[in-house]
Amino acid sequence: MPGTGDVVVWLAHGRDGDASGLVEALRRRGIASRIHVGDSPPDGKADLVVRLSDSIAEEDAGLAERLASAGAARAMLLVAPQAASAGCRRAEGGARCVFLADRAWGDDALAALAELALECVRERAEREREKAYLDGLAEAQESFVAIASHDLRTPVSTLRLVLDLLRSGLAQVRTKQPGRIDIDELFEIMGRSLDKMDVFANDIIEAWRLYRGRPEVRPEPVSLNAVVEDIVAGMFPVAMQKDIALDLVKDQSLGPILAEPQRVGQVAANLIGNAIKYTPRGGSVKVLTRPEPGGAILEVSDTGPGIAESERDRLFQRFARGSARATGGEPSTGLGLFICREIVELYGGRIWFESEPGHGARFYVFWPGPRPEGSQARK
Amino acid sequence: MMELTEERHGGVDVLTLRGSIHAEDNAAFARVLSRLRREGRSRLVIDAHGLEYMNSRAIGQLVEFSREARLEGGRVVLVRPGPTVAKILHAVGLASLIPSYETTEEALAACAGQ
Repeated sequence: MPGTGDVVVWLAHGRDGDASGLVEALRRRGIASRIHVGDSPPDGKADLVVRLSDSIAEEDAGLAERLASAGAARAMLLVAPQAASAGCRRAEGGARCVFLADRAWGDDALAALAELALECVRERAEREREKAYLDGLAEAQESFVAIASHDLRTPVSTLRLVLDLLRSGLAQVRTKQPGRIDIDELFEIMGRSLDKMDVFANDIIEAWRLYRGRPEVRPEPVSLNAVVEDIVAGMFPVAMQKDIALDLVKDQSLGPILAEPQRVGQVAANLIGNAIKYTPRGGSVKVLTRPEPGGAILEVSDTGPGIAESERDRLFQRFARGSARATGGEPSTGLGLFICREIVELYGGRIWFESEPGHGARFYVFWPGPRPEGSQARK
Repeated sequence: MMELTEERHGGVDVLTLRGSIHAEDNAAFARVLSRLRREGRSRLVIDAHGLEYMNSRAIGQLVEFSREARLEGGRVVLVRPGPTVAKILHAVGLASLIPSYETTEEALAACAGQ
């Protein structure tokens, strides 16, 4: 597959400026989406700079200078007369691929070499992406293991302690005797520890699945209102426990969004669950749906402590636990918002928030809707 | 926005609710329930067929009223709650504590015959 990108043909000072044959040959090969010709160094980013020069000696002498002048170009093809004796050589110039070619080879050969240079750029970019992915994966694996071992240790230690108390015979059914422990209290502690482990296991599996590779998605028309209504109803018991007013305002004119109900529910549950988790007793959480050009918005606002300025940049990153504390002692893995962002982006949506510390937070999710009939599919 | 009307049928009070009960309506709803309790009223029919939404605090207020009413031999019943309210009552396990009837007459009979 030919490489396509920006190609700048840079004419050395004093030349007659005739690059039309080369430009034509480049066009025939179809390797460039845009070709610029000029007698000064490129001022923007280009995939390839082809410099047409007057002498090889001048190019060799000023190679470093030429490379610097080529700015952010990712590859450079230096073309000069009498370069044949040096042959076509490929050198590494910083982060760039650099080629030297003889002007006498003719426009078609130079265009072929330009194609090779672009291929080199693409291969290099591919290698860099692969390396960044593998580096990220290794780093993520390390932090997943570190956090998992830390976060699982606490509930496991608690369960071990409870087990020891049960074995000791100190626990009795509904006892108020001094020195004795009510067995129901121990069961409650065990339940809470298991809840923590359950939440953590689910989150870490989901986050890892989303992080490692883009899961297969099968978008279908989904009623955002119906999904959100189910999630809100399911959150009532915990909202009632904390005397939080959980409000739902649905726009009845809302059309379908293009996603999958289970994933939309996961995002809604995470955002509404978080809002309830960080809102103090007596506060309120409001869930709202409304249409937006091209889709629909889900909005979740609360009267919690808000998000500190220093924590905003990393809020959607893995294990980004903020300074706010769950008001009911609910567990937190720091993965919920990361999972939300990954899911929303899977369907081409967007998630963001507004917050003023001390005055709550407001999260927004834009879910794209089906394209109107007759419109062009986005490439 | 909540709209509320009150009627009295003998020993049974009928509250007809329309619209939605959101945070800004909770205080007004609580005031009505408190007044009924102060007046010793413990048999309550809530006509909820025009009620689109009832927030968690309103459900909590209703549960509290129902709990106190039962101690005095009364009860709270609903008439045809809308789908969202029915879904919420089911989710919080209140469908049996606060039962629903198809008509006001059935609800009144169930309340009065307690």
